[in-house]
Amino acid sequence: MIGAHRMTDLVLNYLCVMKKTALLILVTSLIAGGCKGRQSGSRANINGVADTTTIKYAQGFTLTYSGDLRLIDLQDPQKEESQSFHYALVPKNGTRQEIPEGYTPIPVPISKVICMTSLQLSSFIKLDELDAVVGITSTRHLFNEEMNRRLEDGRTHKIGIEGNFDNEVIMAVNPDIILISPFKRGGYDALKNVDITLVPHLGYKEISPLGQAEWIKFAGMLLGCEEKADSIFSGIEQRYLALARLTANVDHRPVVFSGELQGGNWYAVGGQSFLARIFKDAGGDYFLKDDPHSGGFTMDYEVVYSQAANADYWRIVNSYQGDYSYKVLADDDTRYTDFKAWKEHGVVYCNMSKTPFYESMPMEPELVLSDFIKVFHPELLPDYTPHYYKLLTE
Amino acid sequence: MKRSVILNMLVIMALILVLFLLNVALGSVSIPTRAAWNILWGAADQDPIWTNIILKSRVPQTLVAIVAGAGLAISGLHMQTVFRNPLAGPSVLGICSGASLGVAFVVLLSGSIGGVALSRLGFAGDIALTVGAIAGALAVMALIVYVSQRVKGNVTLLIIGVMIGYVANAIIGVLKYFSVEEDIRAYVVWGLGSFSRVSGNQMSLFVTMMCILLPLSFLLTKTLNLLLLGDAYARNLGLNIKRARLLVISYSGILVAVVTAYCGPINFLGLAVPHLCRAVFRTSDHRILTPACVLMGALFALACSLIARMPGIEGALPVNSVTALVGAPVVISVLFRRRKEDTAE
Repeated sequence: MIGAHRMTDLVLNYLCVMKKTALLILVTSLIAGGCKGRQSGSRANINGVADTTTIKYAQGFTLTYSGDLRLIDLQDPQKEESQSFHYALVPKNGTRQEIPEGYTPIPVPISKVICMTSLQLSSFIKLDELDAVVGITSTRHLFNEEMNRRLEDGRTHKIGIEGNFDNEVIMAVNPDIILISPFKRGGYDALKNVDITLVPHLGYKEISPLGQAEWIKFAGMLLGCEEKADSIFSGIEQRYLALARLTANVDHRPVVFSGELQGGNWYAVGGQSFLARIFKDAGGDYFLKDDPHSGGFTMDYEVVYSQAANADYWRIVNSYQGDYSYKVLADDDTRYTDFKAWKEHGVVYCNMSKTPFYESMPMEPELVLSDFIKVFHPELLPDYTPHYYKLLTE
Repeated sequence: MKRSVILNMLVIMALILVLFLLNVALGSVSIPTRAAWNILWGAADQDPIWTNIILKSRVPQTLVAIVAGAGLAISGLHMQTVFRNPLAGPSVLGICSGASLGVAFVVLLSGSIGGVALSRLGFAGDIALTVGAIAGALAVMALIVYVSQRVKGNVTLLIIGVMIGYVANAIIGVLKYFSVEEDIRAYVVWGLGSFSRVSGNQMSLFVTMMCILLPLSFLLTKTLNLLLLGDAYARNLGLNIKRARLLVISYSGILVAVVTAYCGPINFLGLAVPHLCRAVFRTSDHRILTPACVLMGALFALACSLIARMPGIEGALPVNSVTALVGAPVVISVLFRRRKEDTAE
């Protein structure tokens, strides 16, 4: 157990950091002043004066400054694919400059973008820049009111599902760029003919929560509001790290497993994945923590059971209609009742149809972390109310 | 019955027993054979995790494979006889497609029209799929039975069955087009087929149903033997062709519907096993082929299930792929042999 003295210390420390963070956010947001007024040409950074943005956590993109240009190199964060993509962000009002070979120029700030995934959308939501989003794909489980309003009155268009786009709609909205997920299934060949720059967004393959959240800087650079993005991210970063420090020295690390059987197979993510990282930072251990994979794979029921039978917690995400409960789990498959986490009510649950899972969570890793800390070590965050994941009580 | 037939049956039964034990003993988690054997005989002092794996996962899976294999083989045999077409199989009447359509409705539409989501009615996960599949399969079967009373020729019925399959697939295509990726994935996973998704009460229900349905096939052997002679002969021998056809089609249809609902569409088994039986037993007498198909189907499914879960493979391979990989060479070799016999004559 953590001593009472040490506890108070930790909490004080945490509060102190939180206060500082809040102050920092206030100050930076005053400085940045949002990028709503970007048409006024008041942003010095686009003109190459400030080159302050650095990438600390994201493995999927690197940034180099070259005069007025920002050279962005995108590659697979998990290093599974060798293909990389290169873009030169060219300020619209800057001096003309030679663009290095192999780089596709993108005039920035962009004003119209199409997002293919909720993860991409999440950056724009966090930046409060939905005006720039003129097209999206899936609208299921979309909670953001502003976005729903935009869809309703036609300011944002639905362009069909990934792989089956309505090219005419895309051409009609004529976006500056389209953000895509290149390593998923195709359907982009047809888009290439439309002559709109396709930019891969590889944030979904990031293996650390902060790395994924850092992609907000990518959106910020495209929109020309880097400083705002930087300050939002540094807020996220500080809160996240403060929370991670809270759990760094916990004595007991509960074991967590994740997923459900689907058609006789269990889809699990590896020990080096995003999820494993969150569990670790929340003071728990993922049941496959020694596994070297960062991506997901299917496992046989018996393998999962043999390794997770005595795990303390069980994380489940689905879109069950109705009230999810231990009884629903047992009705689904009686084998679930053999898990300790079922018997001792240790299911940590998030319902995608009731919480903005995909569209907000990527940019709020600190809240997800808090949710898990609240479950694993409730004494560390006594007054916290969970946002996404809650311990299923009945 | 000839001695060679009995001998063959005994050999197959022995192989079933061996494969049953292998299925229970081998899996992704390595459990010592001795421990597995003790658990099977009810020893209580074994590791509870191993006990649960064997009794709640491997044994149910093996039983499901046995009855599902037998059911599909029987329905394949019936279809091939009724339609006098060696390429007929359980999926030929569109019943599998009907089941797929039912599942597609459950999986792909549940998001867009939340009001009718089956999970609202208390069915979650795979159970919802089972209900959807049964509803879809039985709906198509009712349609086929209705049509079979209206049309005369078998070929017409066959074509109508195939057409219904196309229509079902077209609707599935439209549903897929409008669905999000996670739902499509769930649907694709169902379509791969699996003996291992049924467990607990579901498994008991499925096995009980099959244990009632399978013996009924023996009541149809005489009818099938008469149908084999051709419609004119059969009619002369006092068979009501329409009624016989109705009986056989509904019986096989129900078999396929139940198996597909619980295991997903498993295609090749029903087509390949009857051919295998004809080749091994060298007869087309249904008094021999019916029990032979039950046994051979079970054996075939056990073998596929074993291959699908070979240790060293992460997760379990889709049963549908394994059945086709093993089944295709069988069908091809049978067809080649038939061709050779034809040219020799």
